[in-house]
Amino acid sequence: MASAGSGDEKAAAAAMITLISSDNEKFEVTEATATLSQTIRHMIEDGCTDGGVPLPNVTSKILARVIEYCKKHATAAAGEEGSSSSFSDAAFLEVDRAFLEELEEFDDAFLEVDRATLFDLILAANYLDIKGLLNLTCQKVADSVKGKTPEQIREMYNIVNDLTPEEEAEIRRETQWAFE
Amino acid sequence: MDLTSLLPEDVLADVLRRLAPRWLAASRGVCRSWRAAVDGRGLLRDASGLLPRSLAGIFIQHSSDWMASFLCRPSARTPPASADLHYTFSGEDGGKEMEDSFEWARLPPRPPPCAGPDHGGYLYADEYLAFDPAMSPHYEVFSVPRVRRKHELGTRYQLDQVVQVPSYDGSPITYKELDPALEGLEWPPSPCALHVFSSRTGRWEERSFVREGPAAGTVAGMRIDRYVGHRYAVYWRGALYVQCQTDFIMRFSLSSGKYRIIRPPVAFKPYDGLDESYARRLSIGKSEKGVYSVLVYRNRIKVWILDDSNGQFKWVSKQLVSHLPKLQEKSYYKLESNGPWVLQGINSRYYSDHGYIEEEQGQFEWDSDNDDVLPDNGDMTGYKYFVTFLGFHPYKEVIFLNDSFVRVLAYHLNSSKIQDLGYVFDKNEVHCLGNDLVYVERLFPYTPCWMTDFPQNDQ
Repeated sequence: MASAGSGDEKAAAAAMITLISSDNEKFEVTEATATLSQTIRHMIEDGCTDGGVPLPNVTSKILARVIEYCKKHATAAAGEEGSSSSFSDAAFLEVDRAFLEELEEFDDAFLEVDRATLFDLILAANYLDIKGLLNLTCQKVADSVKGKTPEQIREMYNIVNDLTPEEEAEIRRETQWAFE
Repeated sequence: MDLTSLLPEDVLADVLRRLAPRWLAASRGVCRSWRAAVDGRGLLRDASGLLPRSLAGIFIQHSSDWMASFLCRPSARTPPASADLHYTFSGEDGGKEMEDSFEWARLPPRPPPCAGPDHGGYLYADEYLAFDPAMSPHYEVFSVPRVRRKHELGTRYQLDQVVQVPSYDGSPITYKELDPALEGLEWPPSPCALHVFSSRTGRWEERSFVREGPAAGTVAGMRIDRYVGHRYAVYWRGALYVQCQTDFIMRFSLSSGKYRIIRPPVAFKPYDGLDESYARRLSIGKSEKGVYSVLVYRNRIKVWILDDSNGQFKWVSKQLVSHLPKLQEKSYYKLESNGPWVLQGINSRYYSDHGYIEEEQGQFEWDSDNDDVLPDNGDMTGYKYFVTFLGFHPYKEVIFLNDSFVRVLAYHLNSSKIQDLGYVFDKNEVHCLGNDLVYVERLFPYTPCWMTDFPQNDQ
C-alpha cells in the first residue's frame, strides 16, 4: 500500500505544468501544486494546459509568492491524506500536529508583506480560486479594520469618503447599537 | 492610492463578513462601495440576527442562593442558543460560575481584594460582568473592592445585630474598629488595583485603574452604608459602570485604564431603621438609551438617564411618577393562578431533588406591548404591601417590579402601563417558605443569541 502511494506521488510529480505570468515569466510546477488553484484544476481537466497556462492578471513577483504558498500547502494536503488513510497512532498524530504548527508559522511569515503586495495576493487568490490563500489574506485585511472607526479606516487605506453627511447620519441611526 | 477599491465587490464582502457585528456595522460608514458590499449581501442583517435583540425571559436570583429560576412566557422550545451571561455565587470556597440556561463555565477562585494599603481585613470585593457579544464572544469579570461595613463580619450575609458570635471553627469573632488613619483615606483609592478574569486567558489578573476627578469620599464615609446585597453594574460603550457603596458609580474605561466617579442623581441617605425590604434604594441598569438610574420607594418611581454627550456625566430626569397606578388586589391574593409567565427551575442541583415539572408549552412569545395589561381601576385597592425594583428591560423602557415579594410586574415608563407577569417563587415553594423572608436579590434579562460555546471551552 505504501509503495502504491509513493508510486502515485511519483506519477503526480512527473506531471509538470507551466504557468506564465503577465510579464511572460515561466514557472514550472507540479500538478499537485498547481491544482490548489481551482481555476487551473479546471483547465487541466479540460485538457487545455499544453504549452503553458497564461495568467495575464498575475505578475511574476506575485505568482512566485503564490507558488511558494501552493507548494507548502500541497505538501500539507498530501501529508494529511497519508495520515488519515494509513496511520492513526499517536506518534503520527504528534508529527501531524508539529507539521500543522509549522504550516501556521509559514502562513504568519507569508503574510509579512506590504499592503500593496497583500492586495495583489488577494486578487491573485481570487482569480486563481485558491481558497486557503484567499481566506488567509482576507482575514489579514479584516484584522486590520477590526476595532477602527470609519475615519481611521479611511485614513489607513486612503479611502475617499463619498458619503454625504446625511448618509453618514443615516448609517449611524440605522446601527446605533454599533456605535454605542 | 485606495487599495480597497481594487477589490471586486464580492471579495470586499468576503473581507468584511469576517468582522464582528459591531465592526461590520461601522465599516458601512467608510464609503459608498463598502456600504454597498455589506448591504448587497445582507451581511449585517445576518450578523445582527445572531445578536441578542429580544428578551426571552428573566432569570431571578433569590436571596437564598439555592433558589434561582427562570421566568418566561411558555413558548415553543427555544433553540439551543447561548445567552446573556450571568454569574452566581457558589460559596466562599469555590470559584464563580458563569451560566446561561443550560451551560456553565466555572471560573477559578478569585484572589483576595488587592486594593488599598491593607490587603486584609477591611476590604471585600464583588464581581461584575463585562460582556457584549456584538464586540466579542469573550467576557471579563471585574472584582471591584468595597469597604466592609462598620459591623460586617467576614461572611457575606451576616446581619449586624449581634456583636459577638462564634465563627465556624468555634472561636468568637469580635468587631474591630479600623485604624483612624485608614478611616481617613480617600475612597476609592487611586490607582485602584483590582482582579479581572478574562475568558481569553482563563485567568484572574491584577489590573490597575487611575482615577480622573475627585474621590467619592473616605473609607469611613463608605462604612455607614449598611446594605450588603447585590448592586447592579452596566457594561455600555466599552465602559463598566458599577454602583458602589453610598450609591456612587465607578465608571471604568476598559481601554484607557482610567476610572471616574459619577455621583448618584439623588444624595445617599443612610438606612433609616425600617425593614430593609422597604428601604429606599437607588439602582442602576441598562436599557434602550444607555445607563439608567431608578429610585423605587414604596409606590413611587423616579427614573434618570445618564447623559454623557459632552464628556460630562449628568443625570437627566426621565419622568416622575408620583404614584404607581393602583392595581386590583388580584396580584397578591390569587396565589392559585399563574401569571402569563411561568417559572422554570434552572438550578438543577436543587430541582433535581424535587423533580420540577416541565411546563406545558404554549404557542406565544411574550408581546411586551399587548399582553396582560392590568385594568387600571383607579379606585380599587393598591398593592397589598409594597413594590420593589427588580431590573430593566435591556432594549425597551420597561422596568420589572416585584409586588409584595410575590408577583413580577412589568411597568412601561412611557405609557405607565403595567403588566402582571407571574410568580417570583414557584407556587409550591411560596407555602413552604414559612416565615423566612426570601426576596429576589437580582434579576438578569435573558436575551438569547447564537454563540457556539463559552470561549474558554475551546482552549
